[in-house]
Amino acid sequence: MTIATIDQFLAGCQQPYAWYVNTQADLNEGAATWHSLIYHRGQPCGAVAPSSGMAGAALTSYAGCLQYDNPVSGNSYLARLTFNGGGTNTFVALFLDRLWHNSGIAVTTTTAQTINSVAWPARDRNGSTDGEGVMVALEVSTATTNGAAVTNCTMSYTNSAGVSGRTATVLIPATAAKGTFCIFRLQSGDYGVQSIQSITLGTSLGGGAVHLVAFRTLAVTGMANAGQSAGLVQDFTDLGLVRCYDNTVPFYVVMAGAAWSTNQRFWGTYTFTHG
Amino acid sequence: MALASLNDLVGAFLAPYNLYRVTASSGESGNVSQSLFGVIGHPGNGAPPTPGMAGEVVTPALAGIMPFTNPTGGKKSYLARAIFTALGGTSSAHLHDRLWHNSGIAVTTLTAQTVDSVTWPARDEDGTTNGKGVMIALEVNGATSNGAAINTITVSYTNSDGVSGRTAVIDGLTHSFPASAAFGTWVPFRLQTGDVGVRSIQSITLGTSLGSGTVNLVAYRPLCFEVMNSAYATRPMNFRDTGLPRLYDDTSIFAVLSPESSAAITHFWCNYSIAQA
Repeated sequence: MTIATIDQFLAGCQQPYAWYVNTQADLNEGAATWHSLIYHRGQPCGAVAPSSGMAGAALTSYAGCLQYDNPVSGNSYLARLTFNGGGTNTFVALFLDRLWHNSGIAVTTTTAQTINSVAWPARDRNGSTDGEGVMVALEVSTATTNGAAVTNCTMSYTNSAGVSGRTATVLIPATAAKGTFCIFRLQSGDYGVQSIQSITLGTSLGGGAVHLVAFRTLAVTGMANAGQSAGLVQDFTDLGLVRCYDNTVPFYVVMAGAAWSTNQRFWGTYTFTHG
Repeated sequence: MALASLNDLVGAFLAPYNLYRVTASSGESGNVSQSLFGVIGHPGNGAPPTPGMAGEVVTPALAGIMPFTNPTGGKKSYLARAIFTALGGTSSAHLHDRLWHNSGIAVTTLTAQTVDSVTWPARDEDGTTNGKGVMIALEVNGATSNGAAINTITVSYTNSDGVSGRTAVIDGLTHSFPASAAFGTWVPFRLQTGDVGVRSIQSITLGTSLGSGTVNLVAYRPLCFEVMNSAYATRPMNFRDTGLPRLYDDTSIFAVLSPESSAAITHFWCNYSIAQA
């Protein structure tokens, strides 16, 4: 079954989920750097670092990510999304589905480290394991100690068309804070990652802990101007009735217009419709 | 079949696409636009075109162009929604359908250079090759070294009514070709009075040397734009805002950013959805 009418949409709307985050001083981030909210304190949030090994784990849930319940029958679609926050900063926020993550990357090894990721769950843009629209980021769970930005980190991957030997690049900021989320740039012509074969840091990160995370972007939101009145409310016409597949693992990544202050607050709601 | 009701729209949304570009402006002064076709990000960036002066038709198979699935069963495609974000300053974001582009323009030749463009794909406003609503721009794929802005560039074209000998200009009244134009610089031509589109291009005349670098002509149909009034302005556009522009088979979407100042624009993100009904 699928939702094809306004009546079906309305009949299928579920109760909204609510969440909030109050960031911690040791997790604050500079401007212009993506930052995962899963490690911060709040409801739910407060995740621990992944420990699934280099090949990683296909995720169906993860403590600290946002709540999601599979539909009893039919499909699930993102119906409504609200995002807001306090303080004087401006933010972009990405509402993501966390498909896979790993652990065990040696942060001082500068040569290729084998990943050979396990298969993604069937939650790419088309609900398959091909990886169309799937992006990958390097997420920091313990702050690194590299004194300068690392610009030669690469990832060897197979693209969503099944072509191997592709290379993605990423910039890792200096002394990346816990939660820093560095999104890889794909090789020319590619629109998704099907699997990861290896990562090459290129330059030592000194210390800390990092992980690879494969994700699909469900929605983009944010706070257009500083202050609590500037958050966004989006309905299905704004969101495009995004299909969310079984065992979606929602979480937020944000980017600030200026360095964060301690106790940056975010909150929001999200609603699904089933049918 | 077409979108004729809100119910049609509910059942017509495809999964959204995401276009992410890490560095979205070239540091040019305000009001100089930047093509994001060749900028790294997700999907992977496009490469400088190399089809020669007569150019080539662009399809979604080209690296740097967004994926697009042609509808089946008589359905039609529409741009149903979009949201844009970027860091760094006020700007406007544009989504265009890239119909055609060329290469091989000699940047130091001041006289007319023959283009004689191949036929556009049937993707003008009406879904034909006539060119109604098709605009043209000069795109920089290798930084130029002209010491001063240039206002002497002209293109001889045939308009969408089939009238030849028309002249499009970059003459400083609406746009100038900037001094030492950076990679990605995007300068639209102004069409001759009365014209609403370009059917074909016969020649280009730079008038003034660009010194060095690489430029190419691009024919495109504008699909939508949104003003981002401050860093991270993220006003969502729904179907009422996009106006549901029709997307024809093989629509080849890419983005152009128009910063208000020379402040660097980074982390451009566009999330958009197509409806097929």
